Amino acid sequence: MAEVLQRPTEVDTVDGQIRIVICQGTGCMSSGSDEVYEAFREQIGALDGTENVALSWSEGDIDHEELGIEPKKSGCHGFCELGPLVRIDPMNVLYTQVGVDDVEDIVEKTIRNGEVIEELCFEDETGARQSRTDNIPFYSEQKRLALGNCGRIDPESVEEYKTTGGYEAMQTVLSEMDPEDVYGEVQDAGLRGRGGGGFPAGNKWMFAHQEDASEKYVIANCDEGDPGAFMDRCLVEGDPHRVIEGMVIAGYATGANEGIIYLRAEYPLAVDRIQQAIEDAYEAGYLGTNIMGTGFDFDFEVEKGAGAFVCGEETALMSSIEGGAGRPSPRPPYPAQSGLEDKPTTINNVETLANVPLIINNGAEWFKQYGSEDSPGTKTFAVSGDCSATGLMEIPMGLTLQEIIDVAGGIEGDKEFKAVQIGGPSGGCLAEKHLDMPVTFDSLQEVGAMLGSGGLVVMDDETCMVDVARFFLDFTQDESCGKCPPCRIGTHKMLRILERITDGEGEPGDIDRLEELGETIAESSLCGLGQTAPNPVLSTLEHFRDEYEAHIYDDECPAGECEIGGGDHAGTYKIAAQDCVGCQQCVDVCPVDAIAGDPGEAHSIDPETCIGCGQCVEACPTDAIDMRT
Amino acid sequence: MATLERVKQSLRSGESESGTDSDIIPADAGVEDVCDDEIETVEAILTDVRPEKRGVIPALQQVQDEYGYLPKFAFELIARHCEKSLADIYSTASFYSQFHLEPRGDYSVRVCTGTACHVAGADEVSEELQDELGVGLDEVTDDGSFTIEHVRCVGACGLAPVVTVDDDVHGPIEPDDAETIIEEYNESGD
Repeated sequence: MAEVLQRPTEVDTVDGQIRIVICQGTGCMSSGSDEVYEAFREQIGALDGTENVALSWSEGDIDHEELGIEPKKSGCHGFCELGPLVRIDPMNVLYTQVGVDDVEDIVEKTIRNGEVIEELCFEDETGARQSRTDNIPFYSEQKRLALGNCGRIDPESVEEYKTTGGYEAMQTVLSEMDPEDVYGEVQDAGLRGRGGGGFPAGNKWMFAHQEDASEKYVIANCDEGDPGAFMDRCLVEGDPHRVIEGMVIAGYATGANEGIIYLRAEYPLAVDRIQQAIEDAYEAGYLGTNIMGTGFDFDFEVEKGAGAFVCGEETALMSSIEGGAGRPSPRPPYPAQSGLEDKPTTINNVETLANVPLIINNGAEWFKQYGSEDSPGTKTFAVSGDCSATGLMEIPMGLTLQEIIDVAGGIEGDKEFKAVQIGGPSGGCLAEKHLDMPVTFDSLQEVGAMLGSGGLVVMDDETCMVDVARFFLDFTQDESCGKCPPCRIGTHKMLRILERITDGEGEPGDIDRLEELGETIAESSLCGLGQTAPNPVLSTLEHFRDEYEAHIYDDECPAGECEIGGGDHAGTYKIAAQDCVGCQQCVDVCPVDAIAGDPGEAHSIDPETCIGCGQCVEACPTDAIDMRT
Repeated sequence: MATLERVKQSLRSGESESGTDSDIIPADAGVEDVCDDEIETVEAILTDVRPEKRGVIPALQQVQDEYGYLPKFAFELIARHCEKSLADIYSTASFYSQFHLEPRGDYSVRVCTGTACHVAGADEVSEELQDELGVGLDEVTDDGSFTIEHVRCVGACGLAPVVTVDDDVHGPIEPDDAETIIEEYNESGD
């Protein structure tokens, strides 16, 4: 027996509408959600003149527009893996993996007769079908503030943004508040930069405000270069007007009349949406001269990046806008003093900006009820990898890693959790022992990781941690701008060593070399890219050292991912470093001098030279030598 | 046809503004095939670009949108328009991975190499696509249809591993899907 929906009252609805919300995020669109939208338009139009549609609140013949049964586009709902997603509001019915062929059914059964189509509902781990988002942990455990409108409203409509209280904060700020009050409120709220650094946003604004200059800039940083991160993309695609509103407020607080959003060119949909939103905002009088009659002027334009990870760094980003190569410069001077074109410049991540209208509307105290004391508010995470529900989520700061993974549906299948990579190339890998650690800016730094922008890749026991470290070093050394030698040469050296190890040619001493190089690069690099580049290696060395050792000393990849092992050298011998006492007895007996190593240090056997005679095995007092298979 | 030397001189002395369009094409820079039409095309693009340093990257992007890569003669025009040296323009263009100095295929097949895609097997997908097209990374197929390249995270991690063809996103894909994806575009191109 299919579940039958209650007819909603007009009060339940937004603007008296029954909304069929079809996700138009990058994920769902790649699975054909734009065609699903068109199919809904056609089917809903065909309802006109029919009678008694279950989900409308009035009886009789219907005109779908008059009754407000409308298919609506929206930004990312977050549950990307199960797209295309269709939600029917205000009932909160969620249909997953909706195809064009399902549309007629949905309109006929659900919209017309109020029946829930079970096959299209989310199947939880017990095999039960859940029709409402409230019953799906992925949604019910989230606290969506910054992403509050994403997946709810049509991102291409300024009117819809206004129905959610959009541009009210801007009006309050421009007509009732002094700049000092604005940044003061943001300071009180304890809003910290969501781009990864965690610097208090209100302080940034205050510094820029205090600079005496006729021209200032504010820049929204949406150069989301971390692999595995897509929060900023979803935010701009799903609620571009929120970013605009946050920018105007930032401009007012700092005294800037010009704003720029720096957006990755790899996000074509986000570029289109923000460009459209800016045009609409100009038309509606929310941008331009004398905004809403308050006398405040603010211009806003889009700059597309050109594919350089380092441009997420503030000074490199500004160099890029100025038409140069994206190379960072030493600070001070800080951008707040001398930034773009030598003018005081405030740079905020788009997620930081998206929180600002909420803080103005609801107050600092309201904001602080979420999250932890040091890291108030929520954080968006892009969860991907080996978990059941990959996608975009927003949760209060301070949840434990385990809780975050649970929201994402836990580890996929019957595999074991192994690690979480957090913060992208600047972050680190966390192991099982960190699962109960609350995730905040500061707690992560203490364990050698970094919140970064919020990319979180879950890995199961089939993932090789040495290979993950190699992957990130490959990334950072490729993206190093080349300006300072520690980063340019150091990351290259580290990568060569890691490649050697994953190829099964690691040498004793490689681990020490990696650690020494890593610490030196972290201390002496010019910008954040270099300073944090060794994190993935150092954190995996700390938490998964045994995997490195297995590669180097046992010619073995415990996860079975790297193609090493005995291979061509089967039949020769190897020394287990952890058992070797460095007595040199094997060195003395080897007839072909294949064994090297200083006294007291772990020895190693060169498999190219070894003839497999086995004399060392007999000589070894600690049984540290074994045959390769 | 002007020589490279003459172009340099005219740029230095600021005379280039008064020269005819064809004067700025350096013959020995291998662009003798460029006709006035192409120069007009680029100049039309540049009329919407601000004539200063902040115009450099937008100019390079828009020219590349037109040609699929950055032809040499366009560097001259951009340098003049933005009042920067040729070296500055080249320095910028060669720094960013988005810019190509060699012609590309009609379709750009991009294999995402972000973390989620890497863990989900992007390498195998890339190899299969290269086999299917018979070219290596950043090479153009004989018929000029495809170029395959590795790109940084496209931010569609929920669909890993992901391949994009121009602005279309495909995912999650298996190595076996390579043939189907290429077919789709081969057909639409026919």
